[in-house]
Amino acid sequence: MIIQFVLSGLTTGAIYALVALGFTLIYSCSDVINFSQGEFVMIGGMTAAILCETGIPLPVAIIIAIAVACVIGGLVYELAIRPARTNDRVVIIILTIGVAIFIKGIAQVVFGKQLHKLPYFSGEAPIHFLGATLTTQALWVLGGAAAIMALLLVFFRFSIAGKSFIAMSANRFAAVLVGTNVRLNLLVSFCLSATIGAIGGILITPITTTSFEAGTFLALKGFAAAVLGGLGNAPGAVLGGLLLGTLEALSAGYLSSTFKDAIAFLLIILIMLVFPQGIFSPRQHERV
Amino acid sequence: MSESESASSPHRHSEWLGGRYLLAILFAALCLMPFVLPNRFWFDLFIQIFINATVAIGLNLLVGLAGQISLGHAGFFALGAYSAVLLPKYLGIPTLVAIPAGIVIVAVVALAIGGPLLRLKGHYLAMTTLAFGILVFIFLNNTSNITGGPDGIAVPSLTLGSLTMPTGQTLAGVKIWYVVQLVLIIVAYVAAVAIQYSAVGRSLRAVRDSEIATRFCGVDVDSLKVFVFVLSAIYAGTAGVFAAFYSGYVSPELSDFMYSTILITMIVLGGLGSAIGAVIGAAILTVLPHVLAAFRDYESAMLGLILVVCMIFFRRGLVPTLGDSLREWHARRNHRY
Amino acid sequence: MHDAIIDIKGLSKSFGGVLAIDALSLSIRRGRLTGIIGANGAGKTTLLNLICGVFKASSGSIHVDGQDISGLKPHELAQRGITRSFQNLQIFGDMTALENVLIAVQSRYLKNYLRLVLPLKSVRADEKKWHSDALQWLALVGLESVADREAKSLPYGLLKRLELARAIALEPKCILLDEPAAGCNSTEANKLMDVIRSIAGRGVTVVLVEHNMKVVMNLCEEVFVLDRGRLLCSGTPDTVGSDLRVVSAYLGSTNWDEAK
Repeated sequence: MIIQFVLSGLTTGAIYALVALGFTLIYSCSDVINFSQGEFVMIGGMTAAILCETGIPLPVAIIIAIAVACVIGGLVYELAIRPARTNDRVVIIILTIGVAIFIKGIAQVVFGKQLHKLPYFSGEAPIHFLGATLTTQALWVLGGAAAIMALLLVFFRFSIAGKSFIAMSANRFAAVLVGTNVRLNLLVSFCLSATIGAIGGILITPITTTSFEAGTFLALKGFAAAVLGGLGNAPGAVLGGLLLGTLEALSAGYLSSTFKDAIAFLLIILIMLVFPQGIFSPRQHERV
Repeated sequence: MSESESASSPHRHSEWLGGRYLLAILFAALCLMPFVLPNRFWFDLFIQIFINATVAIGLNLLVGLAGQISLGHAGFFALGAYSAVLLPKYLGIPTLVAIPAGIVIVAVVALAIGGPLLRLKGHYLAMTTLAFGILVFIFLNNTSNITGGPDGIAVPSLTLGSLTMPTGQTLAGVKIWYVVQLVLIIVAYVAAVAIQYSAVGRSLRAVRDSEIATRFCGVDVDSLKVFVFVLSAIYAGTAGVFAAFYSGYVSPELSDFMYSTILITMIVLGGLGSAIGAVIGAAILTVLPHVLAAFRDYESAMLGLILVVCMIFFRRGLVPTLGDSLREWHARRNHRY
Repeated sequence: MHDAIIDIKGLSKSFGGVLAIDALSLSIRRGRLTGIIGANGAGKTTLLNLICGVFKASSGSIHVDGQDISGLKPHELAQRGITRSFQNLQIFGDMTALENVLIAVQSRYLKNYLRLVLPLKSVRADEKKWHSDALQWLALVGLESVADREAKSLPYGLLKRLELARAIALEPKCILLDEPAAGCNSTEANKLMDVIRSIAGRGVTVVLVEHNMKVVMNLCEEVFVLDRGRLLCSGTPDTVGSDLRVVSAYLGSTNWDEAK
């Protein structure tokens, strides 16, 4: 039984990890917590689902959905974040919530209020593993998430462009001095976050279906995962996501499934109160 | 700055020389409304504005004045509203007593969570208050046997001895409730303004500007933050209790994230830190869905757009921006430039 | 009663694995204009933060007027007479200069919130008194003419003095100044020194953390030199300036001579 819970927890956890990665990516470049991160996941899944339902072949639908999300991510930066020109945290929070609600509102109109579904990528035949049952889709989720993380790692560590990101997150001013195009990098970080989120949405939609409501909960859980791993710490975000997903699944299985989300949110409150700096980072002190 | 605006006026941005006259006119107008409004729909509209404005004024003290944030204030509203039902139904408390009892419950909950939560700042505080609001919603939505679940539950009538207060379903009821809610919003407003212009309000603004400096000025910032948090929760809970008895019905939507966001939008639109701004923001956002009835489906999108536009272009909100323009116009007229 | 207003014994503070303060012991004499100098990272600001309650010591003790202050919070220490100014300004930008000082003046009366909110005669009288007191403190630092100006519109040098006004408005026994002359040109620095002298003249013990050697030389009666969290040496500015350990650890001899 426990293996079943852990495996399904890791599957949803992988999505949380992707959302958390999106948060981390934008946060390390710009100190912005992009509340609309969850909506990108929703957009990815919804767009792909709608396109599939109109008969477009699955691979094409996926590519279009990813492209749409990427463009929307870029638009969020150019039309909302950049014009605001502020570092005030409260303003940014309210701003990104506005963006999230706006995206959600438009999605409501475009996609309608019903649930949508994507077909399983490689059929619905279940796999048996260590006494638990998995769908092949779960493997897609885990594999896809791992592939994305690997690609990001390669990009940031081994390419010049990627290294400029790392420079930016370490010291924005110095990065500018050595010729980093801050605006371009920020734009890319938003597009990339949106893409990552959308891929996550596409991967998970066959399992969980999707509706325009999905975004808010995902944003909250993804943020908690990012905090758990230490804000700005990319591997931590991944581990945080997996951990949160597993804890959620275990408590849903052993305690109560109706209150699965409630338990997750209680966990979130606890995480913020007890480990605001993440369980992997040492204690930070406020510098006066 | 001129001598007439003495050093004791703390809120230069929202203070406007003619502002007091405008308020007096507004007050008179609102008192005359019951004789002018044509039908129940209009009374109901004003009452909804008063209810939302009460919550918004309280939230403004927390967010605008003290510089904190709460994305889950609808949770307190709902807790107040559901107390109106659950206390009489399960504890046999008379409905009239349920009003102060419900307010006390909300205050206690706020006191309990305020201490730990307010140690957090910025994103963390935003997310935890959001989680709180959603937790209240999940609880109300999933405990059908107690709270009626997603379908909601009817509220018992408010009784005082042998007298029963009608709900807002009848014209007579709606008129009585208009008076009740008007008194409530006036009390709420006066209290908020009194706080704002007092030494307490001054300290809250200091907390907003620099928490650490305020501590070093000898102020117990932690207690002050909890105080304003509990106070804003009381505003929301009180509005909730009265709203429940007014409408005769409660449902979990009272606590959902959308309502919390609408509340934030109200104070952002009206002007953070301005009590009258909160009222105006509440009025605009209560009326807007009716005006744009054809665009009902776009309500979420509109809300989001308002938030984004405000944060980019009107960060200080309508009232302070208007106040500044009016003051400039006034000064130019008097050739002070 | 005690000649030492602040008595530090065996104080240590570590952050993670880094030992910022290492078994430090020193006494600050009442009424003495005291300076604390040292290279960057020597632990000067950490020491200030420990004294005024921002951090808790890992070991050792700090006594103020004979009382152990460990565990006391910054606002409690402020009420007990230890106040400070900040290296990076912590001014209430959206409030006027007068209101900045008012926050300090009114803080000890901020007990009964309900009473303060009611339109009582006594409350109005309190407000009037606070206003005139705050104006006096502003006058002490020479800022009475900008009392009604918004703090964020004031130039840097004035804001440094505003922080001073706020710190002394609490009528402290001891005031800790964290690099008050940082970023000031020589005119502003001179004005600042006059203000600090007049504060010290009122019997307040002033403790300065400073890099500006001219300020330290001209103002301080006693100087402590910190090096990597430890006390390197102490004494009058002249004694410290000629101590070869200090010279080699911190100052080039030319800096010191120039400052004279």
